[in-house]
Amino acid sequence: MSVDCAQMEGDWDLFALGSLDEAAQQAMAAHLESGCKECQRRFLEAHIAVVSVAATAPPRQPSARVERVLMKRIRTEQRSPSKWSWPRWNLTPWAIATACVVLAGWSFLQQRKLGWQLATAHSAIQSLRRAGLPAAPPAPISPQVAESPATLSPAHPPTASSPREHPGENQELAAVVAELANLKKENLAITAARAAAEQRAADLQASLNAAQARGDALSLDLEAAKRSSRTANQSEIADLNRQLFDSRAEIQRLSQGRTRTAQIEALLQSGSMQQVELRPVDPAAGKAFARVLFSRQGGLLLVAASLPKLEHEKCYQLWLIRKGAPAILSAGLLQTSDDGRGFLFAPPTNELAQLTGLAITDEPKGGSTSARGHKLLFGAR
Amino acid sequence: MSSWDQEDLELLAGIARRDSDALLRLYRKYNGRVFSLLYRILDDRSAAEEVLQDTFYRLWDRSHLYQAEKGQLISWLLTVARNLALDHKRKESRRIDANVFPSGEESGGIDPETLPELVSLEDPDLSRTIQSVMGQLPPDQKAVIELAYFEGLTHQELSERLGQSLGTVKTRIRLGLSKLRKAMRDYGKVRML
Repeated sequence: MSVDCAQMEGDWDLFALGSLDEAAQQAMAAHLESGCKECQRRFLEAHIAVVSVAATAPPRQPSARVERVLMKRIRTEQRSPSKWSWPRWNLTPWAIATACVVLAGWSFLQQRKLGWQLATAHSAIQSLRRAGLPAAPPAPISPQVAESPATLSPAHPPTASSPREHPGENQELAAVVAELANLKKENLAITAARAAAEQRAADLQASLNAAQARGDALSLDLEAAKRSSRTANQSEIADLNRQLFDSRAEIQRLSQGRTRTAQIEALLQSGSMQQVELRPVDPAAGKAFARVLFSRQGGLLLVAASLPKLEHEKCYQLWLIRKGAPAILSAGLLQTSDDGRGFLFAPPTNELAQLTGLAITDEPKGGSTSARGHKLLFGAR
Repeated sequence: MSSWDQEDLELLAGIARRDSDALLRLYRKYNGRVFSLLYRILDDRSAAEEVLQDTFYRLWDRSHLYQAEKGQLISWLLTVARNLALDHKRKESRRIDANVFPSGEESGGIDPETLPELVSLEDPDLSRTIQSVMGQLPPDQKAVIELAYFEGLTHQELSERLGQSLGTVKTRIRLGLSKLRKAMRDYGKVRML
């Protein structure tokens, strides 16, 4: 163990936790990289202990959504290669297509060259047949053809011999005919290779075009999906906001109802409750009738019956008539039903202490700050 | 090598072939362990789920960085998850990767033959043993280890947070982890170190 190792010996726990300062972390990481086996062993021991701390975390389970999102992310990536992979994806077909074009060009030149040799050989044969002797030296044979094992092979015996030809002439003619046969075979092979290469290049180009089209279509689909997803998401958010708003309103309404019910219950249970009956004082009130129960601690509860239906823009309002100032004070608007029943609850207030009477008027919708409508019902304490 | 390790290696080979079902099987095998750690660090379900997804995406994207001879896959996943969670927590991480496992690229050529045989963190009995040992640690030792591991605090920050000297913080971490190591040794003498 070196001096460095001895200095670090006590710090591997902190290093494994990542709790040392940056310089110390770097120095120790570099030391590990140097290949010191003893320190690597110490680090691994520390690492095992540190990772084991994870086992003390209380067990939790992620939602199923994580798995769905992760797999969707991976499968989407598999279907749509990243932009960096496009060049790699394109390279192979392009390289093959280029090679095919070069091969086709080379084949074409070879074919022209062999065609010329073929024509020359034909010409020589015609001359030999016309004159019975070679009129001109045979066309030069390319080294490629000359080195071919098939050239003048016994497998291609001369077949153009004629009884009237001399043996030397026959031999020369047979050589030319054999050469001609070889050239024809080679020409056919090159023509076939050229056609195959051209077909392969055409196929590759078609594949390339199709792949490009698929890539473009996928890009468009992706964009459309993103737009659609955004729109759907916004719509969903708006819908959820509406639902949230409605739910909060409902909660508020229910809370108010619960509070009011509790207050009414408290009023009805209070021992100091008083009662006032209100009777019609205007013909417009018809046979309406109302009863008020109240106490300072419990508030005020009004229940009415046979209330005439008011015009659309009007409502019933209850007024407290008191000894002190203000002498007339609104106790609130009545909730009414289509069958002429009315209801009002007012929370406890000191204003009830000096109450001398109660009156119900018809007021513009929303109520008035001071009584201006017709006094329809009245009751004295 | 246990059958679990062998199964993990086969699934990792599947990931290398871009077989998404292999990743799915590893996710289903380890998501609970990794998520428990992430939730403990981040204390936020949404953030923990986000980092959980990133952790397994990293396994998909960089599985070649995992080196089986340096430890179990779950150790690698927990280390990656912790680093990502602490980065997420701090945004600007000033941490240096203390672990050669996650990076792999800076491997110093640790000879597998010199490595200790690692215990299985998947062993439920061992997990209970570790929890028990942690529960029995003196509160000061337990606090520094938990703050360092789950909160990612440096020894300097620990010193300031706890009002203790650097030396005291270091000593408490060392003593606490030493007891954990001893418990793990006692638990699996045949299998470990």
